[in-house]
Amino acid sequence: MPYSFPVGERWRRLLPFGLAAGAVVAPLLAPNDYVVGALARICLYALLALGLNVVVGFAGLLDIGYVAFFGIGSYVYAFLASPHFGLHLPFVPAMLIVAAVAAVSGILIGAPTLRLRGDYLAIVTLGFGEITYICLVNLDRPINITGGPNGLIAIDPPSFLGYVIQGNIQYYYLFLLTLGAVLLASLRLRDSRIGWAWQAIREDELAAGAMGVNTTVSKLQAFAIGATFAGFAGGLLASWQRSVFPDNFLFHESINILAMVILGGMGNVFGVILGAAIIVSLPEIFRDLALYRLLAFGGMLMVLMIFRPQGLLPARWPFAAHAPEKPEPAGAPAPRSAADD
Amino acid sequence: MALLEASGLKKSFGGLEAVQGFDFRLEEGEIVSLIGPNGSGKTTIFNLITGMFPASAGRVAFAGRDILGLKPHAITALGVARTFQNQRLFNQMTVLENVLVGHHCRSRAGLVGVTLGLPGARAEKSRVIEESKEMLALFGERLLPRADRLAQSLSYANRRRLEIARALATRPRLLLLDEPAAGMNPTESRELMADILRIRDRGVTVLLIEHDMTVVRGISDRVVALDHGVKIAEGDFATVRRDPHVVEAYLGRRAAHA
Repeated sequence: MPYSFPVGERWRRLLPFGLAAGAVVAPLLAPNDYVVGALARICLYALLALGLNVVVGFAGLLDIGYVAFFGIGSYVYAFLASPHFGLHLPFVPAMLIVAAVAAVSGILIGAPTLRLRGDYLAIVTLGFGEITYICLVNLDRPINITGGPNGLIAIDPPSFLGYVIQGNIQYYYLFLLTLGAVLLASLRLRDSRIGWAWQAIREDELAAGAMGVNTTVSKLQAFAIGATFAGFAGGLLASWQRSVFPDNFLFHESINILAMVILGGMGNVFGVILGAAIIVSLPEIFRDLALYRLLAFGGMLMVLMIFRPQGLLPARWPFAAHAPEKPEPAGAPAPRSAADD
Repeated sequence: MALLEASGLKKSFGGLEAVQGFDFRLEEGEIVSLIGPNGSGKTTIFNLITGMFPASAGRVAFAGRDILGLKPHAITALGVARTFQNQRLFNQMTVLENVLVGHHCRSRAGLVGVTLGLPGARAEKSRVIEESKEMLALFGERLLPRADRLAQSLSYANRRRLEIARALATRPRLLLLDEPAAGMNPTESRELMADILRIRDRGVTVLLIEHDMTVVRGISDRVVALDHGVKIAEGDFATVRRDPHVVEAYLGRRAAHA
């Protein structure tokens, strides 16, 4: 396995099961329903962080308007399962449509940005995020599509064959199940020809093309997958809140999700989940500080980034096996680092 | 039919004529070296053949097919692979993964197959991992034992070898090597020569740019010399070495007439 972990092989195998078991029993141990709700929110944001991780962490495409896909997912679910258009699709087909629409919107925003990288890509995606927000606020006239600033309400809760999900605990398990599926998909994608192509583009786009990677197709796949994960999260949010408002999808949410990815460790799927857990729960933990809550949150993030700039769980552990090789004998030149090229 | 045929190939960057009407034929199974002083247009020719940038004029046919104007990945898919003079490995990926990227155009698994873990996608993945390990094994004990290390951590010579392994993973008929021996010590260069001959014996035609004349002499069937974007000599090593134009290009006019 290319991804080494700084603990024994045995523990490494057991760790995922331990974490999964912990996630399953966590809401049962929670002191009150408020905490269960917070746990559900962690799952939701972990979904978003995993999606953004595909775009930013795997493919190296800096997207700072990512919340747009979260919003699109939420509103599409609301359109399909609320009295607004009188459609009441069952949960599973509705979510499949949500995923499809999100994927297509990912491709549509991805297509014009294919030639852009880094800062320039960030600016265009920022613009896309703002456009989406402004559309959500203003598309109540001339025909009422989004409900404008008042949003959409009375959205159907998820139901499976007549069984209606209710209460934070049940939502939590629904979210956790989705998170598990998305996590598995992320891992499979990372270690596949598609994931290798993404990483190659992140490392050196020109060389990736020369090695036979169709960079256009590959980047659009990254945008589509990232948007699909966000679409899932959006649909779940709409069905949980039973309402959606444009203000759920403001710019600072994009930054929050990006912070989860960077803090947790870009490219490390477990890291970004941890990042989501920290960024969602820190403000809750600091609640006693009242007005100084966000100050403490910001300070904490700064401290973390100063001491672990590569994120809590970096994509590659700076492990002994990755230390530079000794030069070969017979007067070989010293190994050069990437910075020399 | 020649494997690669360039005619009237031109490239100018603003006022600089980097390549001025290059005509060239490469037969299947040859090892041909492209030599010339710095700035004579050798790497530019590689970049034109591989679609890195568009030519100003001319024609390049690979196996009888026009390839100018195709995107780099499409040219690679047709069977042309290359290495880079200034090493462009995927540094934050492992040695094995670097080679796996090279298999991209020879594998098919799609988003659905991968995310659902369908049997076809799984079988293909284990196949390309096996094949990638074979590519690494071409370099004996140099790369294979380091398969799980980051490419960045490799020694200089091993990085050069990995570039070749990665290019071979695309299953090329033609391999373009841009200064493969640069920075290698004599032992490593000798090993490289043996590696290149072995690659040719696997049925890959090799065109290389090289400044190390020991390497050029040791393995080339034919040598093409360039200066200021013009072909000044062509033939076997001994002929090209004695050619007055070549001597002049490297050492100046007086040396050529001495």
